[in-house]
Amino acid sequence: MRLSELKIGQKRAVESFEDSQMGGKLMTMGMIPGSLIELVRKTAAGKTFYIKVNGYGMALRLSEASKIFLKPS
Amino acid sequence: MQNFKVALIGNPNCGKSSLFNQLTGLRQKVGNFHGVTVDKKSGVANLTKDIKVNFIDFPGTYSFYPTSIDERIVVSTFARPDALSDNWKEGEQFDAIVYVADITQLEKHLLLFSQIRNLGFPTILTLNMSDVAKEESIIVKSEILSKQFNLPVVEVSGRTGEGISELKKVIANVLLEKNKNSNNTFAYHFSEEEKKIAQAIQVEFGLESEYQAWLWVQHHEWLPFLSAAQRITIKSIVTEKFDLLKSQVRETMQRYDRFSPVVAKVLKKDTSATDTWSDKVDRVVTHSVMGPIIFFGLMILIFQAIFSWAGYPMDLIDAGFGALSEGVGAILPEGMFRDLLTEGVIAGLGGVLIFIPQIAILFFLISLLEESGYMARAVYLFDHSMRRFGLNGRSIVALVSGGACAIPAIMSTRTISNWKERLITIMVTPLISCSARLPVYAVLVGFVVAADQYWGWFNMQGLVFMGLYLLGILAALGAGWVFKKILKTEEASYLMLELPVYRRPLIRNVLLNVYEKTKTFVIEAGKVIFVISIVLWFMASFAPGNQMELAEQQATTQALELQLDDTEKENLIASKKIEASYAGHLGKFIEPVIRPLGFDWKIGIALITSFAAREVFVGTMATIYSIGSEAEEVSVIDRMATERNLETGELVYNRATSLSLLIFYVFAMQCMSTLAVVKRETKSWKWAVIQFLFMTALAYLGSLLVYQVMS
Repeated sequence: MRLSELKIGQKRAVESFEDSQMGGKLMTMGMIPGSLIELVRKTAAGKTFYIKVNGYGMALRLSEASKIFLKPS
Repeated sequence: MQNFKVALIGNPNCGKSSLFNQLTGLRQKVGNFHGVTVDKKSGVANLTKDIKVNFIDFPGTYSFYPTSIDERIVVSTFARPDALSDNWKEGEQFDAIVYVADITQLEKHLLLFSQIRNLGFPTILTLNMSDVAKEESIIVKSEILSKQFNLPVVEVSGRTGEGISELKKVIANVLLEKNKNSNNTFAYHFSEEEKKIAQAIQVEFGLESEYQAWLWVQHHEWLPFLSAAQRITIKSIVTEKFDLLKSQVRETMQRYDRFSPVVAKVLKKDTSATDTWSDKVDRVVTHSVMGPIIFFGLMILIFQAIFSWAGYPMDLIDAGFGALSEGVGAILPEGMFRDLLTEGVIAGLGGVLIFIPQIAILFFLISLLEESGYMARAVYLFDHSMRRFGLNGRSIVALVSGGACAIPAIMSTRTISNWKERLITIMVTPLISCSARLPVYAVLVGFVVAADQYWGWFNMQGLVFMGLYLLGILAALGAGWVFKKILKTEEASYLMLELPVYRRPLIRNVLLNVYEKTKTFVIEAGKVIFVISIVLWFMASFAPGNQMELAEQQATTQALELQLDDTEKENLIASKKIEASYAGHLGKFIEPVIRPLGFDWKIGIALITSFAAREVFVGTMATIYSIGSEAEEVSVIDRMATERNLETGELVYNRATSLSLLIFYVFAMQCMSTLAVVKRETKSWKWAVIQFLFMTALAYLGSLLVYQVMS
């Protein structure tokens, strides 16, 4: 599944990135394959995600979240 | 006494600035990194009696694969060919690196550290936020870490100052030993293909290490010190089909694989606490409905604070300069030099300094929001709405700062990595009503609606004020939308923003920040306003040929005829003189153009002088209506209220003209300093000129529409 499909409160580990330029940047910020992701909340329009990466807060766009693949639980 | 230079490097949000402030105190200055306009903070500290160190604070950076201009500095500084030798040709020589990592997020903060280690600099690993670590019962075995990484490790707290003296001792030792304590703990294992390329580059350019050569490979497109010929050589070695991105990902993974096990071994963390205090705050502050409401509430509070707190110190400054001008006027003999000093120089200085209270208060509040971590939440909340207008969530910081002054606001856009979004933010920020427009609004609003007019519960003047601010915001968003449609870019845009844990802002950091930003404003804007004030004084004091003398004679005769008293006579002379002056000629010259907006030549003069800086408006009005240059706003207003058109006998400042003039001030680009900063930030006059033209066009059309509809 993709990060964009995650439900609020749900946790999954990162599997891979669809866009490697974006993936490269995320990795420098601490999100690597294997990192545990939790969806904390979304904005009203549902276009921006508040997630936790191994417990650290991060904001992502929907377009970015949809390019991150998560491992099946 | 020995002098050294030490670089302070770390990820964003690692608490580096607090540490820097702890190390250097007030002995800081802000400059620019070689060849780029990125703020470079440096500060001096005496480590021992004999060792003096100049610390350079580098912008927060995630890795050697930068995504913004700020982040590029670290790589472009340390990938220089002469970075490792003892005599740097153009760049700066650093004797050691203090790498700052946040203990509470140690693992991800080690990526850049591991890359820096490959360059072979003497390095000290500083584990910051030891106070927070204690609170969260995080324990690090720094001795093991030190052994594993083969370098000194020091635990400190930039907030409390704990461990700082120990850190100073360790830095002093490293500097005296001069051993490069380089090692291969983190050596990157190249693939066959990568190794071939790296070695070829290393040999070709005689570089000290393979990894440095590798940085040239990865960043040859933009590294500022490479010549065109060098770029071509690198391109011929690297070839098109080699996938740089893939190897970047490979490198990052390999590094994580290397240090993650070490971190797991040395770091004991209590993971039971899942719902922290910060999470509880965020449940309200970033709530999809409450969040935006809180944001707008905060903004209203901030602007309330600016207008209610700044009034008193501003009056003091105003009165101070009035007194100074009078004092100097009384001491010096009458003549050109006295006039230049009192009406040009001192008035010009006063015009700059009067804004310090408002700007300082705004920056104080904004940097409280930034330091606490709130700004990142605002970016999260508004990123999507901002993007509809060609902006980025990060633009919200610039737009909010623009309410005080566009100059620092434009400088704050450097964190936006996408060039198009950054450019649009720069282009539209000056449409947000800045504090310099306030005095103009204050003078004119009275001619549009009376002070005692109410609409229901609301004071009409207050509503007009709010309307003008809203108009500015709408114009900024609208212009952003248009620019978005016009400008094309291939560059990807990202949000990917860290939402750091809320921290109590350190008052020391906040005050230093306010001091620096205010200083930047005074110097950047001051230079221009100062020069322009002198030019204006000249234009208003001199006339072609002997027209000045003629005007004076004429006015004197007229005064005799009308039996005016001395003050009235003086006023009449001054008013006739400005009509005859170069400024008067210019005003009359542009009158046909501004007539459709309802402006006469006198307003024309004020418009021209305002193109230097808006706040000059009130002073110019005072001069034109000959009430002396130290006139209070009230007397200017009184005088303007009785001004009648000589031909028609109608009031000049009727509702239509006044509103038209207000609209003009909302939209027009009347600030040379901002244009200068835009030129500096975009590295060309092109965008400054475009900005000037589109804002002036907007102002002209807006005023034309308002005046023609209302009159």
